[in-house]
Amino acid sequence: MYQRSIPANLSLDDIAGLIADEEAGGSQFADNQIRLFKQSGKPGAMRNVASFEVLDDAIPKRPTLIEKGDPPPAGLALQWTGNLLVKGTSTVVGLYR
Amino acid sequence: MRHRFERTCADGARLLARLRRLGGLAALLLLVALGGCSQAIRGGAPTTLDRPSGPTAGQPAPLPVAAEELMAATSVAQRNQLLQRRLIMIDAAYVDFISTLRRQKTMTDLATSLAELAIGVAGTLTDGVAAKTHYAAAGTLLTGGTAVVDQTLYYEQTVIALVAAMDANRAALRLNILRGMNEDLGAYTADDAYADLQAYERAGTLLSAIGYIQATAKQAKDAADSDIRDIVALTPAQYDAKACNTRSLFSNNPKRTAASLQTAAGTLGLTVPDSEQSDANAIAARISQLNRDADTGGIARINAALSSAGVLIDCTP
Repeated sequence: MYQRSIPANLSLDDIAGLIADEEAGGSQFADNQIRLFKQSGKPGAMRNVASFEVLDDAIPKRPTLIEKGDPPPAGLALQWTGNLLVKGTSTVVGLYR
Repeated sequence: MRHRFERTCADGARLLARLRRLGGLAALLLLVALGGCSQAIRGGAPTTLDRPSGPTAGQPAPLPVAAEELMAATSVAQRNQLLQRRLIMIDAAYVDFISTLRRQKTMTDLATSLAELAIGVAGTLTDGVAAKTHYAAAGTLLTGGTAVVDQTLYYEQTVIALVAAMDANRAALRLNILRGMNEDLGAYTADDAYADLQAYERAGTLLSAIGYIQATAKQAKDAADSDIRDIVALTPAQYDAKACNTRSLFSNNPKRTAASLQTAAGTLGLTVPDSEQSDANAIAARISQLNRDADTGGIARINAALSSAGVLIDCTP
């Protein structure tokens, strides 16, 4: 398990694209935490800190992110639900594959 | 008037002792109310500005002995000998204190300990080992212990952590003194040396250890945050190259042999330990890790290295 940060100002589609870019290395998104992200003692900013699990010989299918309340994508299964900072706002999101 | 004031304070102290038995919070409130009994500057050390700075007739000098000794030193060698003697004295007292602390077993209720600790921090510092165990109990809370399952175990673990913190802090401060001993009397003055000695001695206290742990824990968290990297955004072509690198390192790729992977690793500047030289899975894991951490330029380099080593598979759809 390792972590990567995702900027807080992105759209759901941009975040899904970034997760896919990361997963191309043979890992899978596992969870996200919204954290006050500090660097070099400067005042921090809220960011998404995503956890990824390293897979054995596999690259996951591209994820689709849907905001809670929106209709789920047809033919895909819900794999994770939780909070993400989307366009600067904490949003409950479902990740489907 | 002064006599009346002192009497009031003495009565207050007796009342405080009584209240300590009844409840920590009430005692703490009273302590704050009695803050005027000492000549404290906003809760700090008493003022020294109304005292003479030199010896007065018939009275000893107002400075501590160590400060007087350092002020009287006329050569670097003399000053350094004084400092060495002081370091030895402080170290001996510290070792004695630690031995006592480790022997100390406490089974008192943690809540009571913390209530008394609050009073201790507010100003009733004592040299008694019992009081020091209370700081250890507070350290348990500071390090995140919320439910006391086995208080004795927590206590022992906390003491170990606090002693380690004291040792680390003392080592850093001792270095300051040793560096100062290389300086002449003008560069490392008596007041510098005395301040360093005081800091060194204070670093051997539990209260100082708690502060040290808090400071280093915060530094560690900040450092950990700065280690978390952003995900690298890829173009479709870069995504394909990264995914192709990953697939080429899968164990079902017949071209992925230890020898070919070693060649690729060598091109990428990866050091493979002797124990992994013939282990294709281990070398592939190292290159995969590099591929995950790579920026766009790194992905292209890995792709080229795998290609030239004959490991890269045909990823065209």
